[in-house]
Amino acid sequence: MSGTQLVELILNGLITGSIYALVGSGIALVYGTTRVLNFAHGELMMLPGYGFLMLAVTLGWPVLLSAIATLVLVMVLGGLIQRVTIAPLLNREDWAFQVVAATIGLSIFLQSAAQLIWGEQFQGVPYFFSGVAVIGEVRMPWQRIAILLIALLVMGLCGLVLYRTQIGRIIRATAQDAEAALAVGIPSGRVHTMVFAISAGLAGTAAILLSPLVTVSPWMGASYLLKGFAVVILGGLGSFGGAVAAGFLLGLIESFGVAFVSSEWSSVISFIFLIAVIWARPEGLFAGRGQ
Amino acid sequence: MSRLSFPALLSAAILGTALSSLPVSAAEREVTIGAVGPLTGPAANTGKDHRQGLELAVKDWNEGRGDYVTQDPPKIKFVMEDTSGKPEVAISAAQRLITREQIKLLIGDTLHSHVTLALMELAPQYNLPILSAEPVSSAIADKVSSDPERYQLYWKGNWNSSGYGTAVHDFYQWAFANKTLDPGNKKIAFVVEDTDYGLANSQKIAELFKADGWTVAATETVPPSTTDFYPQLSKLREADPDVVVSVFTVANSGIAFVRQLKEQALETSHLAIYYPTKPEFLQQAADVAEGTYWAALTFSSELNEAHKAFSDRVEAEYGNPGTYSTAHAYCTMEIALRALDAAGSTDPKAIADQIKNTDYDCVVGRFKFGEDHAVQSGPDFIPVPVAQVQGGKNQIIWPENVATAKPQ
Amino acid sequence: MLDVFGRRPYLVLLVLALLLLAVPFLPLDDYILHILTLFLIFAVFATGWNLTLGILGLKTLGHHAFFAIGAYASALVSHYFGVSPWLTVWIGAIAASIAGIVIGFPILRIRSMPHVAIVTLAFAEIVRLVFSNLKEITRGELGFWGIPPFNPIEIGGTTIRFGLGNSFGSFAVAAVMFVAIHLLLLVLLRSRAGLTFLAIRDAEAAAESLGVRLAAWKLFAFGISAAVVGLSGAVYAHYVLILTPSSVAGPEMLISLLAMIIVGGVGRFFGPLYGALLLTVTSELLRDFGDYRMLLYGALIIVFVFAAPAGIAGLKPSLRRKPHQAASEPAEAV
Repeated sequence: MSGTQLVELILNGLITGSIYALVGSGIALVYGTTRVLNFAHGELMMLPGYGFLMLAVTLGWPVLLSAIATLVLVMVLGGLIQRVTIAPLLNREDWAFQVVAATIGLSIFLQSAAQLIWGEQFQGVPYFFSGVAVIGEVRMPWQRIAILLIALLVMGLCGLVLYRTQIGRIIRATAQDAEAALAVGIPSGRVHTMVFAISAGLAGTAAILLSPLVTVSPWMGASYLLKGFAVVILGGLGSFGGAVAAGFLLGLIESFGVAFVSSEWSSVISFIFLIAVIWARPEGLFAGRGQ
Repeated sequence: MSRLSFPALLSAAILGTALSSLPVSAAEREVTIGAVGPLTGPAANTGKDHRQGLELAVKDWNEGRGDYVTQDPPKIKFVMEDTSGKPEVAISAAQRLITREQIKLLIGDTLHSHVTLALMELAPQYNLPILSAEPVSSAIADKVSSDPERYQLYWKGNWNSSGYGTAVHDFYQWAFANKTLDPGNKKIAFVVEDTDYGLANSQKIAELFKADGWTVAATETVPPSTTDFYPQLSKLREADPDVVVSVFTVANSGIAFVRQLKEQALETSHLAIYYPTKPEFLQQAADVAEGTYWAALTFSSELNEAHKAFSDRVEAEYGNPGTYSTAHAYCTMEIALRALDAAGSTDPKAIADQIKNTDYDCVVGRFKFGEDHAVQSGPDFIPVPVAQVQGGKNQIIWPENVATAKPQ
Repeated sequence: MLDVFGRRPYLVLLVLALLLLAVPFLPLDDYILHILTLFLIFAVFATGWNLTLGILGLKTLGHHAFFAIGAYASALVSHYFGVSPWLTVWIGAIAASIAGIVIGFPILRIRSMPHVAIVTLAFAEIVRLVFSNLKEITRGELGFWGIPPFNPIEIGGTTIRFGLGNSFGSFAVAAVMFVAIHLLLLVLLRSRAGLTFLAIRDAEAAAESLGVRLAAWKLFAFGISAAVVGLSGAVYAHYVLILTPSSVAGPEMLISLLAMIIVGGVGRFFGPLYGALLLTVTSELLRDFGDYRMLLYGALIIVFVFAAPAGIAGLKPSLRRKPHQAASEPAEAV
């Protein structure tokens, strides 16, 4: 393998990984704070994909405006989903599984609805950044580099909010001990909703970044969901930072898997890696302590 | 009321509803023809075209505009079911058509070779004539040849993928011979979808090129509907092929591939199979598709009067232009209808014999079946022309006798 | 126990068996028999999965992998080695059972539900991908056709044939499997084994403190559950005579079965059966509206989780209240 290919491989891995990190960190945030596994998270990627498509392509709005509007909308949607389909179940005996079941149902419902509304036609969004960066022999389109950079920016922002702001402290307090938080006057219900909204925003960012490359379809979220879960477990269930690191790791593993084995077996490798980690180190590779 | 009875009552109610939806079978003088095709799923657009072509042919037939064989053609009822591109769904759908609709002939699959390979088993099982429409994989014909007795009722309404292979190979030989293209290091690579269609094409072409002393630098197979080819193109850069052949039935994959190929700036000659026939391709990839060679331009409203007339008819009827798929489905149905007409009865063997004897000139070309139950390809039958995108439009560049422009 | 089985479970089973016995004598067309056969196969699948999900209480989301393993193992052995499907279905069941025990090991150590759910999901994906990638053997997504149906049986002067197209024989096999498996499971679960499973589900720590060897029992349940599901998969393979990885090990199968169990009633013995009946019939009635089918399944799951978490089997028209609920751990917000 040449140096060029190695560099491209690593870059590709990091780019793929940044999407996994975005998706996984959102799931981790929700799980860390509320102990809820949201199976409809993939749709929180798919719907903003369509939203962005409608705004940027069908309505012809400028890209940045469309992106912001889409993000706002999906964050509202995330909060709504939490309020309507998840919060009411939390008081039940078997709430953990019931939430899983309800979100699975919601996920398939949304996928089918999207298919009925927008049809089979896979839609294309034009690239935001045209042109190819050429460094020596390495060629990488600016669009793909942008994914990595923007993802890092957004996740960095999130991390900043979590660790440096009042709101972040409130979220982390609720994650540690919701009852104690309540006792101190923190409205844990509202915190849960907010966290869902943030995770939706992360997923929405991933969707917008991906839309010119993979074209929007009703199932675009589904393929990332399981990888997102894998990332969360690898990173240490509930750890935001851990999920980010695990996301990049998974992206690299897959990239090398495709190069050395084949595209078909790369996912198998990723999942076997996941099961192996759970067997050997169930607390995850980058176990934080709840954040 | 004890706990037992409520759920049980509910089940009885459900069962009752199911049983009560038995069909009322009336004795009719109509003959019912069934079809299965991808009406949902990634190939839904093509399935829709198929349905339109099939329906239009039946409509023409029933309304006196058909190409009849006898003075007393039967009236036709047509039912089409969805396969979603999956063989097990197709089998289930076909079964439903057979038992509930009492079809006397099945057109299936309209698109997918791998679905047809499964569906053709129903011909001997149910004693039913089956005619497939677009599928081309040679594996189908091979299966028939391995047991002609078993598959006597199955017929393949399109030529064999070896037809593509031969056309592509012969085109390149011609291009190398007249110095339009340079064979370089004689390395060829493939990026194809992981279906019988993709694999059959790549295998046949590889076989022919290898006989000329070429080597296959890489064969990358991807799941259908893939749109991210960076890993594969990265590998291809290392392999440095002189010719790259891509095969996709889903337009989006093709569009993405061509775009990403351009981004990678591979120094290679690219020939695409199938996806440039879809109108979406030129609509969405015109900027990057310039100069792409592709096979096969079997239908073009711009270059062929008869094709234009057909497309206009489809437009008038359905509000969208006709494509190769629409035309081919129309022709396939014509073959079925004429065979039914000529047979004079619904006896499966009689119908199959009439299909076998078909020699029919249709919009797409001349349909005549060979020993392997497949339609023959070639200049005298259904031609397989190679085209190139020039100035945002398609031009036929090979074979020379039908060419509309020179290769660039 | 009353919750799980209802009042007279053996009577219910007898009634069902009699109903099934009556079916061949009704004037039903092949298509209806086809639907019923599918329902019976999926009902067994759902019941097998419910053993782990509802009765043992382990929230696994990967049982469709066992269905696929049973199906492919039986199909491959009978196709490539010419062994009679009557034998290979048992090979399928055993293969699935072994797989169940193998994946059971990592899960044993896990106490958290999300881990179990995700590991089993990942396992199912691996199974699907493996079958898909071993194209030389399974033809992957292109479909493995040429699966031999069950060998015909001669009774008296008549021959009973099996496989798609031979509706009576296929229905008979499915019905026999249905009744036999439910009977066996009923016997098993009404015994100490069943009590142990329920004890593990409702109060694991307490059970352990009373000397129950959790690991061994969990593996046992897993093995049986996987075997039942594998058997149903094998019978399915020799019925439809074609397999693709995504049809048997893909998300659609997971959703369909999950919907059946939730709608029917998780944790109730006869629950999955009702769910399977409702959904198989509805699915065929909605065949013309293919796109709406999954929409309906999703909606059904949500509605039932909210409004009827005990499923159809738990619907009680009478006003009689149960004396007290079995308590489990309170919902944590941490």
